[in-house]
Amino acid sequence: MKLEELVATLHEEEFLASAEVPESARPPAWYIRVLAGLGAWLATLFLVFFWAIMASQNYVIGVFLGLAQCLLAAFMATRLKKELLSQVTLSLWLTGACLLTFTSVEEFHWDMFASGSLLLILAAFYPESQGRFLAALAGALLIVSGTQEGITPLPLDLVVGPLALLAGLHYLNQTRLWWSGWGRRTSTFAGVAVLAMLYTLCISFWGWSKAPAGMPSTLLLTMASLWLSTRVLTRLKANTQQSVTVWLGLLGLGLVTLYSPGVMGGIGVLLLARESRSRWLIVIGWLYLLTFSSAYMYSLELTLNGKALSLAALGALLLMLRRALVGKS
Amino acid sequence: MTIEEVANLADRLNWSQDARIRAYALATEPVQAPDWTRFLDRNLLAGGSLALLSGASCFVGANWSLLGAYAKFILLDVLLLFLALTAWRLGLQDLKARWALTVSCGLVGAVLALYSQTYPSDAESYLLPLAWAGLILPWTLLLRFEPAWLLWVGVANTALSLCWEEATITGLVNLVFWGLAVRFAPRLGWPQVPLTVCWFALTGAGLVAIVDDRDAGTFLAWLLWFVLTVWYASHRRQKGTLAAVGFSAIILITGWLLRVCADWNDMAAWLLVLGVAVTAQVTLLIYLLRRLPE
Repeated sequence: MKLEELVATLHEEEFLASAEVPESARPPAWYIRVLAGLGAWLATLFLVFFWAIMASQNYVIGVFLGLAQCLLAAFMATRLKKELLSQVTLSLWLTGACLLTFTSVEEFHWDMFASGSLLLILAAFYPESQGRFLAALAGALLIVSGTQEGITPLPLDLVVGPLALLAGLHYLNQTRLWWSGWGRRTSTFAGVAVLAMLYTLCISFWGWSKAPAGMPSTLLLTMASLWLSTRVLTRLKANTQQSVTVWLGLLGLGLVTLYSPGVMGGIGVLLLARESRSRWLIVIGWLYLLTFSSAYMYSLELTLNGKALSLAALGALLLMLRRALVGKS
Repeated sequence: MTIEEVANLADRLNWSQDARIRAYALATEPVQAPDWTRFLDRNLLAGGSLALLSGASCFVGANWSLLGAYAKFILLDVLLLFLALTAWRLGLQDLKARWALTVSCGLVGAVLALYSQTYPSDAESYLLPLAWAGLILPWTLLLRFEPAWLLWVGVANTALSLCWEEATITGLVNLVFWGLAVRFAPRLGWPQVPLTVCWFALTGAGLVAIVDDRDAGTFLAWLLWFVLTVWYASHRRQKGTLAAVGFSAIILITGWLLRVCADWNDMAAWLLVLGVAVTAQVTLLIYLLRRLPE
């Protein structure tokens, strides 16, 4: 729904006195957001090294400077909500968070798990969404990588489940979460969970982890996709033939890609994307599918002719499914 | 609108709790059957077509070496003719016909590549993309279809980069392509494509020229692009283009500052100067863009 449509509907239903939206209240244009993001990253690149040199004499100075910058950025993000200051705030935040983490790693010999946790805690308290997302993403990737350190690494199957659950909980309960004031936090961490799951499945598939995710993750993601599709089919009052087609299709795909959970992950993310009306998730879902289906086909122990036939059969199956589901809906 | 944008708008306009709840519900309304049908239609069609196309490519790749030279030529030529005739039969108003002729444009390159592979010669490497661009130009002009224009610009740029290996010339030629695309719109398609090539070629060449202290010609080419684009985009109120051109200027100014500061002994000082300079320039650019009327 577009901004004008939303405001007009609220005005018609007498929730708002006027259907006018002042120019200053509209969300910033895309080029302003891109400029602010690029400018902040470039400035951070220089400033983080400047502060690192300044703080290299004494770790207390590093911790103090990092915390001070984070607090100043949080203050500016809460009180000085100006477009002009957005990239200054973001740059201050990124510099502060980086400095605090680097100093802690250097001085206290923290591992990836600990430094990632620090970034996640910092992100949880930061009030602005773009800065929170970037810090939380860096923290989540460090934590996932940290689980593979040491003699007994954590099986990544145990990581995929909570990440999928976190994303599902947010995207399927958005109205309730935003209404109760938790939406801003959960939206950041749900977005990060989807990207961290992509990273987890990538390092599992290409063998960059000691305890990769495999069959349990595929089964879990297949169950999640089946549950989500059943929820949608029930709501839309689909007939038995359509429901059975969808369930058999998902089960078949889950069985075929039993040791490559990324494909079912992509299907799950795409279903979640449509159900929650998120365009961003559709892009991520296709990224999952393109990455893992091509990697899966590449790793199949078949001749090139065999792979060609498998791909042609898959294409024909998808087009037949389209005919069965779309033609009669 | 995403629910986050709705929440920000509600904060800025101080909406009541009831208005917020209704707005959140509207932004996250459950998706109805027609939306699901459209979603399945598009995604299953895209997935199925992609899988079939990949299967066909793998099949040709697996059996290519088994075919003789004439068989290869016949296969490609028959496919090219079939697609071109299909496009002619359907008429170029039809989207399928446009795609068929665009794929034919791509196949012309495949036929030329096969020719140069079968009959190797000492000819310059840029001749193949140059001949390809020349042969498909009439079809591209006839099509008025953005993907075909994208293909043509890509092939022409390949020929240019192989011929001169000079980013400044590539940038200037793309400036001409951009001018033509703007002048003869919509006959030639997306003007943003050559403009993006210009951005990368001239900004990259300008940055290298500034850091290595090379000749002023590259910088003059960048300045010509900068003035022309700013003049056009200001008149048309294309703020996205102005933001991109402005960011190119910021990169060059920062590159110049980096060269000047590199002679200083105090590394911390120049890092601070550069950080503050980038922040100040971006803030100024955002301020100027906001002042420009919509």
